[in-house]
Amino acid sequence: MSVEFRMPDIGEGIAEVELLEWHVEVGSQVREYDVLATIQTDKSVVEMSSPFTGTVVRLGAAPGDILPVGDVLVVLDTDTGTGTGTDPNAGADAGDAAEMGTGAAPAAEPVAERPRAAPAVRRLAVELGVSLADVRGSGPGGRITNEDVRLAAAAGADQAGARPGPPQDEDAGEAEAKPAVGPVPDLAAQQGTATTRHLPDEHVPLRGLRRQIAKNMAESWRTIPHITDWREADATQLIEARRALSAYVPAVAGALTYVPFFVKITATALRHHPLLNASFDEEHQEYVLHRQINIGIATSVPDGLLVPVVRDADTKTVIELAEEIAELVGLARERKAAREQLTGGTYTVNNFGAIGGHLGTPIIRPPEVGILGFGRISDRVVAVDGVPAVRSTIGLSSVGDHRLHDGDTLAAFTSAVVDLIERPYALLGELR
Amino acid sequence: MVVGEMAEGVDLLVVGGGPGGYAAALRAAQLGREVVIVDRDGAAGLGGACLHVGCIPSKALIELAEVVHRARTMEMAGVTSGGIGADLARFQPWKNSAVEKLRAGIETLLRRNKVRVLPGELAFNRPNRAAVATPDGNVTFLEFASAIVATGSRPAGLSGFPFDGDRVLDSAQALALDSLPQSVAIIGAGYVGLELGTALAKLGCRVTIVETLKTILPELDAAVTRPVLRSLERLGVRLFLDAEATALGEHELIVRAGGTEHRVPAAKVIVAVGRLPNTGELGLASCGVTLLQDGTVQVDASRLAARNIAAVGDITGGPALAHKATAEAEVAAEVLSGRRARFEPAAVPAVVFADPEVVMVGLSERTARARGIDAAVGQFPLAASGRAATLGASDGVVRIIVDRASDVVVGVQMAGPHVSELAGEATLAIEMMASPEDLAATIHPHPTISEGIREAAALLVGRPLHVMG
Repeated sequence: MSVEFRMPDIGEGIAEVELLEWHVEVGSQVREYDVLATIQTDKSVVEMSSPFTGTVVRLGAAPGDILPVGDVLVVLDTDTGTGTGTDPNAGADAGDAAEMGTGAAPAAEPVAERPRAAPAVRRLAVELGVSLADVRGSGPGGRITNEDVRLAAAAGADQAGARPGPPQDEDAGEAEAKPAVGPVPDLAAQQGTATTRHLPDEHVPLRGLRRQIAKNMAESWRTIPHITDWREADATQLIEARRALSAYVPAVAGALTYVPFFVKITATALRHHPLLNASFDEEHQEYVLHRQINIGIATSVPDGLLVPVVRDADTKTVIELAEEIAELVGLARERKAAREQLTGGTYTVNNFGAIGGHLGTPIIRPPEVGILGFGRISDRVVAVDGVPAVRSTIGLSSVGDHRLHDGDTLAAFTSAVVDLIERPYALLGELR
Repeated sequence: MVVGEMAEGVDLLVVGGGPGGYAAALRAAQLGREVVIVDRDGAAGLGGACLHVGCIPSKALIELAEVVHRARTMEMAGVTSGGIGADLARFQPWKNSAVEKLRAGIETLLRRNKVRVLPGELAFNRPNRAAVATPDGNVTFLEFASAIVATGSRPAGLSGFPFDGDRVLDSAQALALDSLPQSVAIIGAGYVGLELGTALAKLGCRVTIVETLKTILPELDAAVTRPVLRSLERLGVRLFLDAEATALGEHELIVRAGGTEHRVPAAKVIVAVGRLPNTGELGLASCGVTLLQDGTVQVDASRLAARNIAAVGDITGGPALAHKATAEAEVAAEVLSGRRARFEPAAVPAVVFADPEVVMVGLSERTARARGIDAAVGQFPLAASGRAATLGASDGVVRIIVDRASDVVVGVQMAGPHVSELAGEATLAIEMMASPEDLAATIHPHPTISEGIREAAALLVGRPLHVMG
């Protein structure tokens, strides 16, 4: 009996997943709990295990495919040792004389080695430089479709580094696996008048996290009217505070960065300006004020950006935050953060100063309504009491959703942040 | 070559105007190339051996012979056929007009695609240059960006029986006969020998066929050759297998077979022992193209023989078939125009217009087994076909060879009336990797020979209607 294993909703309300990698193929014997595939939700990478024991009959998607929740992930034959053979009737007149002719025998590849694909699909594969042996068919009986080939071409460009860009001269008779590439008719070069270099463009498909980021950011930019309040704050006291705290708690000294201060300051300012700690609900034409203050920390990871979330940031001390942030960021960078560690944020901070930035234009992560970018602390000449003076300052880029915020409400929040940066001891009044 | 020779620039040069050459030219022109075809016979040669001395003339002759033969053999069905005969002197101009109509069609297509056709013998002398000896005695030079060589093949001769155009003929000369010889001895029982022998016998000629192999059409399973052998016998064709033509007598051919010598009547001798690639005089070595020992050009799936030179058709080996050349030509034109393409068909169909017609596509049962395929065969005899009965031609068979492991059709072999028209379906089935169930579940029209395909497939899936499984 064959059973279908459909993609379950493994998170809170995800609509689709991206299939990253199969750990089985058609014909594989799997036991219950064996890993079938690695998938990616909009936040995390998850290994899907088999709920049944059986033989893989069909794979419902190819690596790189987006699979809606509820669609067939895999079909398993739960009876073992089945096999439908055709009736071996009509015995032929084998054994008759005759040598094998070498003349007009039209050769066909042994079927076992031929991918199941119609001629048009095979032609497309050649055009796109896709080796059908590496493509899993999504059509009936595992047949490879045009769509499968196109997806494989997109995925393959990643590894091969080339797709139908300008083809290159190559020796005839290259290995099978290489895409057949024809020479460029280059009249100039052939007539010896000029040598033109033809370097192929590299087409890199959007995959995984990058695709997710692209989708989310574009969606945010399309729907949210961003307004930005740029400020410069005097960081002298903040520097002093970090120095003092490092000495006060030597255990974390080496690891104590400004980020826990930024989080603490932001959470504190949010408590006083709850309109920034909110969600905008387009569908219901309302906004939601969150009582919890969960700060997301934009963290660069090898192929993009993840945002681990510190829950109840306003109730934690800077030291507690430092420890928690160090752990969360580490997990995120290793792509080991659990889904709940990457969700549930109510506001996001971005420490782009760490990579040298002064001011920026951060993009809000919907449904949040604000994001705060902290720039690099650096010495600048500022006017102090009418006299130019050198001060350590920090640039702030405070962004709000203009659907909910006007300049005044955003500025009020930003001012609170500036105030806490310049007088961090005020945070003493915020401890529980 | 003289230093300072003036060369005309050519974007894409095609050598040969046959099914490979003109197809390559058309495809390349579609892709925006400026194409020049150089053919020995210029525009008059368009269509190549296939059109002028091969496929088309032979089918015309076979049709003539078939009409005459059927009129005679259908007497039992009520045909009154007194006085039916064939006049080759009138046949030749009729055939020539059909050939010319087709040739002119190709010329029009090429002209509309702005392809120029030049007459002359071409020889390469550098990787991007060729000399053309034109019919007016001049030599012109072409400097090309890319070239497609499609010069085809010519009939192979036998040293003991040199072609003389009178007594010893090649297939082209045999097709041009304007009177029927009393007797013909054909050396070679390949498809050319069988087609010519069958047609000439039907027209009333005494035909002997001599073959060195132990069987005709060795690529076919015996069940498929058997109707052909029976038909040859009915037509009075004397077939010597495992035999050798040793000498030419005044009116006979001396044949040694089974240790004894036979003298067979041979007013004409047709030598049909295969074809040789036209590559010797092309100077391909000067382009860095190496010829294999048999004179063929080695190419890869992209049809490239050198960086900017492709070769297609008979000169690249494999079966000398027009449709193979055409398919290769399209690939070559695309590859040289910067596209990716490969000639990798699942099967190249082959048809023999013997009596009955024979089709082979993909693997024979024997070849399949030799390749380690667990083969199942569905075989439907046309004796059970209604259409075959109405044609008075029930000797035939449809065989479908299936890879049991993958449940995919890997070969189709057929013998029967009009089965040449079913070769396309058979090839499509193999290309699409159809299962026998696909074929069995496809409605085939009644009454046609094509039902044989469905029935053979139905046998494989265990529910035949018209034969006992």
